[in-house]
Parts: sequence; C-alpha cells; structure tokens
Amino acid sequence: MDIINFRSENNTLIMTINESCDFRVVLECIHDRLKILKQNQTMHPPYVSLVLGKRVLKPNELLELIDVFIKEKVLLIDSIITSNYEEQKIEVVEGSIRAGQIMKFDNSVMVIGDVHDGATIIARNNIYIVGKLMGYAMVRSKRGKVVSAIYQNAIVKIFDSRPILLSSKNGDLLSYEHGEVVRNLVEEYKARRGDFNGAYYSNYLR
Amino acid sequence: MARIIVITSGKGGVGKSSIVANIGCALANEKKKVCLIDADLGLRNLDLLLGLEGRVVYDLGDVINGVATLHQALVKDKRCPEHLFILPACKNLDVKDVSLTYMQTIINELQSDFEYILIDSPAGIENGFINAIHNANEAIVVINLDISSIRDADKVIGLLNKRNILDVKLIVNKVDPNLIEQENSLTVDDALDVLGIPLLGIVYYDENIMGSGNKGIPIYYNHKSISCQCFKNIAKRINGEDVQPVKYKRKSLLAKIFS
Repeated sequence: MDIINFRSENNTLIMTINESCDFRVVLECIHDRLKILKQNQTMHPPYVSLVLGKRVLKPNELLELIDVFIKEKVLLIDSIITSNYEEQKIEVVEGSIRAGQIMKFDNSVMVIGDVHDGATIIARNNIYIVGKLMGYAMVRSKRGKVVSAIYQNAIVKIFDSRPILLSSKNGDLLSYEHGEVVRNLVEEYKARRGDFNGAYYSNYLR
Repeated sequence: MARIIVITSGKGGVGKSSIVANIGCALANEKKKVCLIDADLGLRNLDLLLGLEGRVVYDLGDVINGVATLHQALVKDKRCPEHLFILPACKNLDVKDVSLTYMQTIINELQSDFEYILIDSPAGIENGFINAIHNANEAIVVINLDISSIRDADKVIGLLNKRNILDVKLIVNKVDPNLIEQENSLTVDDALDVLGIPLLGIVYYDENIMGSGNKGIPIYYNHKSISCQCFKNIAKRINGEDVQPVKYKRKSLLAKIFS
C-alpha cells in the first residue's frame, strides 16, 4: 500500500496517509510529492483534507506536518480527519483572530496565528494555538485541553471549571488541562514562535 | 489606475484627518497627483485643516443633487496647484442619502485622473465607515498609544479583512518619548505586538500641530517641525521607497528654559 493516496470526494481533495508507517517517512514522502506538484503548479492552490486514520499525533508532530504544507504552498489544508476517539477532526485556521470575533468549532482547532485580546475561541475538544493566546479560550469537553505557545493575560475555561487567568512570561509552552496547568516545554515551539511573529517585529520602522 | 487608500481608526480623535491632510501634502510635493475625499459626511473638516474652507463652492451634496459636476466640486490647493485636490463632504446631508453605489461611481470617475485617492473615514464602525471602506483596496489604520484605540483598531482590522482588504498598514500618531520613558504610555512595540500588522510610520507628538491646523497650514509646511520629517518618510514609504527612521531629538534644558 502506498504511503499517501489522493482521491476526490464531493469536489474536495482528500489525502489519505498510511496509518502504520513511520511518521518521519510520511513527512519525507509528503515533502517529495509536494515538490513534484509545485513544478507543474498552474492555478491557485486547492484545499485538501488530510485523513490520518488511527494515527495519533502529538501537538508538535501535527505542527511539523502542517509546516510542510505551509512552506511549499501547493496545497492548503482545510481540515485534518482522524478516527481517534476524541479528536475526529482538527480544523486549521491560518491568520489571527482579532478583537470582537467569536469563533466556534465543532471539534478541535489549530490556529496558526494569535488569538488577540478581546477575541473568543470555543471548541469542543482541543485548541492548539501556534502563537499567542491573549483572549478567551473555552473547551466544551471534559478531557479537552488548550495548548498555546505563549499565554498573555489569557482566560481559559475547560468544561465546567472556573475561568483561569494565565500568563507565561518566558515564552514557555504550557498546556492547560482540566484543573491544572501542565508544563511541557518544547523547544520546537519556541523556535517556531519566531517564524510566525518575528516577521512583524523585524521591520520595525519609524 | 489610482491607488485607493482609506485612512481609518475606529476610535475618534486619534488624528485621522490631520494625517490625511499631511500625507496628501507630502505626496503632492513629491509630484504625485492626489485627491483627498472627505467621507466624514455631515461633519466635514478636512477643508478646514487645509485652510480651504473659503474656496469651497460646491460639495458632495451638490454633485449628488445634480447642481454641479464632479470636477466643479473638486477644490484645488494653491500650494501645489497641479497635484493636490480635495472633494469636500456635504455639510447638511443625511448619511443615508449617499448610497454605496454612488460613492463607487464617484471614485470610478476620479480613478483615471489621479495616482492616489485618499479617503478620510469617519470614526466608528457604522454606515459612514462602511461607505468609506467599500471602494478601497488598501487601508491605513491610525492609532494612539492607549489601550482603547489599540483595541478599536484591532476590531477595525478584523472588519477590513472580512471585506477583503488585506493590505492594512499601521501609523502610530502622537508618540511622545517622554511619556514612554515615564511609563505613562504604551510603547510602539506593545502596539505592534497586539496588532501584528506592518508599521508604515510613527508621527511624533508636536505642540505646533494644533496651532497649524487652526491656521489652516498643515504641519508639513513647517519644515522645522519633527512631524514634517515623519510625514515625508511616510509618503516615501507609500511610494515604495526604503527610508531610514527619523531620530527624535530631545530638547536641551537651555532650550526648554528659553522656549
């Protein structure tokens, strides 16, 4: 069986990834395929849904996977579908969520950007934020979690817990799960934070 | 085709109109053909800041009612007669009377004659604001370094992006390094941190800006002022040039005593 497969269903492109194959091999395979596609790219990149099957990815692995797509800009990710019990689908939002916006998701969501002060994000399962969480994040399920690169006066609420104000000063990755803050530092996230936000600071003009 | 840029802020009183007036003068002095449109219907004051109130004969209302043609209503600025024109807003007209399609026809008519069309948007996010941004393809958001103006700007950027205006840049107005040093004001970095859009320029606070507005001479023509240099730089950056930032000079103690 191939490592990755393409098919189309109801006008959307679906990319199925082999469940049992090693993650590194999958990444390389996708990278090669996207490079081939890039050579004969003619139109605006189409959206694709990734089907992971029973494969369970850690947040940083998920990020790596999405990163491959963002770098090549041949395919845009619409959603990630897994048959994992808790996370059936991870929707991907590129760009920041700004003050006054309220975004609701039926399943999990990954935001590639910041959640600004005054913005609200609500999801059923998990919320991953590759950037800063400055606003309000709420998870509806009991086992859900909120993972963000930085918290800056963020308000986090899980299921029926009381809302908690979180601030992380040194840019640690914290994961807030039911009732407690779990500190799991991942160096990769720190490095990535530079990619997404640093661009704005570097062209600091007057 | 003209570049249509809307200058907006959300919050009122941050200095939209004076920025439009001064950028207009700066661009016109770089030999670009500029048209300033006052979309602040009912509360027109762009012509006051440029000292052109006495020369307004027809306004937007007359154009809509068919009393005058569009080119009759355009007011020429005598300081750069070939390059700077303004279209004054109507003084006694309901905002409802100006429909979106009408604004579009006016801008389409102007588009072939000018290189830049700057639209001065009213404060708030109601009808007038939507009227102003409807035809624009770029936006400049003006903020001051306080929390409420930054929050409003954030909402406005969200609204602009929703209407497919993705080229949004930031101008920080009334920056006072002394206040920042005393920690009574936020810093420019804080604002960029929150908003996450590219910075077009900073305008330093100048005591003379109010007086020059009252006299009807934009601060751009006061070449000693630090704001003048800021506006020159902003105009050059809008043109796509790469300019070094202005250095803020602190007043010495002696200068403070004798000023």
